[in-house]
Amino acid sequence: MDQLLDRIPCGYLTFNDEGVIREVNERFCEMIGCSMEKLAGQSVESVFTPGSGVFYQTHLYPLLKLKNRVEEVYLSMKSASGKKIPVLINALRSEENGVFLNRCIIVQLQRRSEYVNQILQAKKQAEEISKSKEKFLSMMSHELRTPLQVIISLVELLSEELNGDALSDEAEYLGMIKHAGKDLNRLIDDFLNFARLETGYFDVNTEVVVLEESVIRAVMMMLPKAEMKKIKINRREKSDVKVMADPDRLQQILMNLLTNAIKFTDEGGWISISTRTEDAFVYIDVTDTGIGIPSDQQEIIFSPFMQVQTESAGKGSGYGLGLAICRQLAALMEGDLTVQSKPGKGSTFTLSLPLSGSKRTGS
Amino acid sequence: MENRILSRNNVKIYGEGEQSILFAHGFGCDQNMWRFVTPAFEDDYKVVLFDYVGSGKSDVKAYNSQRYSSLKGYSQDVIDILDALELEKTIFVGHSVSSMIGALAAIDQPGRFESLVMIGPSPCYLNFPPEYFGGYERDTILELLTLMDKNYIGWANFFAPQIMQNEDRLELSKELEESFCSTDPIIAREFAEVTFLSDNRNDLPKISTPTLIVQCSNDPIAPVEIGKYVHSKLEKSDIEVISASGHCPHLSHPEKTISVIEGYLRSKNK
Repeated sequence: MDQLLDRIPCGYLTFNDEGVIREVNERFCEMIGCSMEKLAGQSVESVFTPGSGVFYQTHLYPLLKLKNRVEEVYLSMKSASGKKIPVLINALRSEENGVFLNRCIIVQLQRRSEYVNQILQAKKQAEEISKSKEKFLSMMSHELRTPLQVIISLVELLSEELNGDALSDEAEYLGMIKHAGKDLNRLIDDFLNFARLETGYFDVNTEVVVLEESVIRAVMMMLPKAEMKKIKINRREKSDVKVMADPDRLQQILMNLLTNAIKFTDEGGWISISTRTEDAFVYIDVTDTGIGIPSDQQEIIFSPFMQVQTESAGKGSGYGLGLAICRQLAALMEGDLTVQSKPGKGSTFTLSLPLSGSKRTGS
Repeated sequence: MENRILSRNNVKIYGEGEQSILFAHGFGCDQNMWRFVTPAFEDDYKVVLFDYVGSGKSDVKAYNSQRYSSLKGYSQDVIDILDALELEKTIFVGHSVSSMIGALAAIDQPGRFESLVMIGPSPCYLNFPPEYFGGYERDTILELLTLMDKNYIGWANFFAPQIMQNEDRLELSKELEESFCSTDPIIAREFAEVTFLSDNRNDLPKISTPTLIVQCSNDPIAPVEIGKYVHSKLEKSDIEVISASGHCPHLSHPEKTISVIEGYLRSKNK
């Protein structure tokens, strides 16, 4: 061993493609408390902890062989006394006289390892808190929905009891209760959907869907709201494409996009829906002449509980869950939801979904 | 051809032959790991390579924790690819965990497979003394999972995406991802759990497809005893022990690996 290598303040180890240790420096011997004579000829895995041995076989060696180098691989070595030594390894693979040799620089990092453990622990705790929060949300939504459903049903019964006196004060009050109840129900649905999506307990059942039918259904359902604001909804050239989607979830996304478009478009504006196909996907563009979204907020709107923060956007209500849910639903259907927008000019939300294929199985 | 499946699994096709041969990578790598072996088959076979969802250049967005919570989800990937390419009677070559993934696909649709080649297979990596010794205690697998977390800590989506908005940081993440065969950290962790915590011992007798087991003489992950155990449980199997150390003979000893596979396929054609 070169004297210089013995003096460097880190471990040095070489092994061949059979995983046999050829050389080590003095620092490495000190690190694991074993002599050069004992180490030479041993399997390189013998200096790793069992888990590191698996990582060596499944990651480190294949990468060295394929890329001839690996950088900053975090492993644990075991000392002769059985102590675990966290290390960082950089390795190079090169050929010398027809024989491949893997050279490793091994840096001991006890303190850094402790910091990393703390980060991982904090991450785990954060994930557990997040899961508890989602479970709580889900449970609360169920608990709220049951009495709310009773209220709405009883209000409907009471409305029928009024015998058609639709203009009475009582009828008006009942209408307001019913309306508020339905709004609350929709909000609870959003919370439930969001909680389920976050916890991964959300099923989408994809099937072949005629896109035009879903689009027309969504437009028809949103027309009364649009007409109240004198907003025109224009369905551009009709399409005969079929997509792989969960019809209910597709409907939910389209309704959400149209609701937002109506909400953020001034009276007399317009909304258009167009479709185009590219490769194996269909792209559904919902364009409005609304207030638009500043460029720095165009991604934020897809994060839960986030809404556009501008004065003009203050007119909308809600909890900023709709688009977060829609994007996740699109992803579950192997599509995506994106936006392009200019403040003051309007926005185009684009939903992409896979076109249906004749040979698709399973999902 | 079903473009979406082919792009989802980054399917690549080489070679001129009629008979298809599908190479499936193991845990921790991608289709690149076959690059020393597949050129030898391109003259006589239609060579199909792919990446499992979450590995290599697959479409990570297609990952679904529920689907891939068992090896069955990965075996469905294999069947999807056969469907997309309209392949029947394919030779399946699987490394490590892919041996069992291919086996599950062959149990599900035996007609689709001409033969299976299992390189370093193990139906169960955990010890269940006294009747079965897969080689690992649960603690070792937990240590591996922690090591993976420590190695993946710099990846873009290891933490919530909001934390990783910094452009420089994204570039650093990209480098890190490339250095680990581009697997997503969460998917890689879940793949590790599925790989090392699954128990498919009861599936072995259900495999009716002729199978070659390729075993390294000194494989710390899947020792010779495990190869022999698999051999003893299969209806129609041969076993070839290569004199080599390690778990990846197709990387460390590609010529020997090619030779035993070719020899087996020739003997099947006689």
